[in-house]
Amino acid sequence: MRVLWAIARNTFKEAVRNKILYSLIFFALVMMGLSLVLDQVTIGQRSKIIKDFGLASINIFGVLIAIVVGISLVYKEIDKRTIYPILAKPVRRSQFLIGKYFGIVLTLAVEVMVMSFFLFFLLGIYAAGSGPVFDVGLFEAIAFIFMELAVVAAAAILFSSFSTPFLSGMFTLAIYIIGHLTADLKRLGALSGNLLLERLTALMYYLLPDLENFNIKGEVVYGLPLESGKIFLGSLYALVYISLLLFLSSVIFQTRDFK
Amino acid sequence: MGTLSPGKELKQRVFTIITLAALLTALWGVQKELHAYKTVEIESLIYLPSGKYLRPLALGYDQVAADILWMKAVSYFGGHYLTDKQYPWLYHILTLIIDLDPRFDFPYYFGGVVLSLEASQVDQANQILERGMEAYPQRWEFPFYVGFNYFYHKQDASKAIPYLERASSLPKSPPYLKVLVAHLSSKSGQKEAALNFYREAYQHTSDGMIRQKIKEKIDRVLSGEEKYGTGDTDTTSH
Repeated sequence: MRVLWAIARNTFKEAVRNKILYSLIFFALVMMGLSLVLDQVTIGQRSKIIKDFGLASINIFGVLIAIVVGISLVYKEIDKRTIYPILAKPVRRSQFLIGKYFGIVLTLAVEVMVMSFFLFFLLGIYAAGSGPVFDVGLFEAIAFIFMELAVVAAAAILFSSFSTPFLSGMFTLAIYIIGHLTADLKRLGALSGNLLLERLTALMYYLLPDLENFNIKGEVVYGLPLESGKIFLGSLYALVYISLLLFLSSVIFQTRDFK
Repeated sequence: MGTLSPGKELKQRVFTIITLAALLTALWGVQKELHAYKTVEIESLIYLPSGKYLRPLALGYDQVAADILWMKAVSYFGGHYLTDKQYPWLYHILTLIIDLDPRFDFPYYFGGVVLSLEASQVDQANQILERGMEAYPQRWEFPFYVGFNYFYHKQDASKAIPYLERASSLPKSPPYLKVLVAHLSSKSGQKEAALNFYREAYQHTSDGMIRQKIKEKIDRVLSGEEKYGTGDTDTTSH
């Protein structure tokens, strides 16, 4: 555990050194600019629009960071040969990989926390009086976004365990896009009447990450009730999927030959 | 990692396979349970604003956004067709698609025919078709279907005739349309014209569900159970 924490902490420090957290400034500027514009042009429902854009921005920025950081960390260690002194110590390859993953998750957690704080701050300024600023649903939506980011980061780690950063980025982006369409593909497959297509889309639905499981933004913004079963299963899904991706990454990384 | 002894290597392989199998089974189980919560997902489309406002947000990917929504629309229609046969949001989704991508022609046909025949939303079907006429002024099918909807669902020949006349004057329209318009214009030939109209529509439709509906209509008109195309009756049996 001590080893994992040491690698995770170093990974986080490296992300900070690489000025990854500067992206927060962009987030702040986008949100601030948007809120100023909305203040001038919208009538009513200002808090809804700020929540919509705030959650979407946290999601998009988070996904970009998860991909950018996730695909390059392992590659850099191999490319700069800094992996040799680490693996020469009593550190297993799987520990190295999982430590790296926790480092990315830590970076994402800090990003999401700061962005959320900024979102609540803007809601407090611009939308005070048009609804509660601190509603539990918003926290739940942010927690689900964080889980989605953790799954995307795990996918990035998996691809970077055997591929170049460019290809890993492409694969992870593809997984992110497909992850939001698998349920629709399954439905379309079922409607096609073609048994093979139906089976194939169903297999994809169960095998590929269904990132729509983490999308509760619509329900939260409209104050619709959230079923506790969905919250529990969604969290469990994230846990199982991340475990699967990290396990696969470790198995692949174990067999890699560094030269 | 060739440094492991054969026994240890075998153990590691077995461990890998068992762990993978356990994780995949757990994943399948959780996703199956989560699937039960999916029913309302597609209805989240109702939160989408009008396509006119959606367009700038699509950041130049209007066609892609329209394609994704089209998949959602088909999936929404299919899901409800197999269950409750209620489609309260179909019109909304279709208008979003044509707002985003007015040159995307299939949603006009789909909306024009399915909204009227399956969802009993004749006025909305005609609104979609009118948009199709704006986007494709040279396509005879759009005014033809508006005329068809007025004649078939509203039983209003007077409103159907101008559209059918327009359809018959457009390129590639079938020759029978001109004859049909002439028959519909004279009250005496209306029953025969109505039947010919439905038979032609039946012949030119490939969709099984729509053909079945038209067939039922022909049977009802033949048996005298239903009126056909008189301008003053506005009773709809659907």
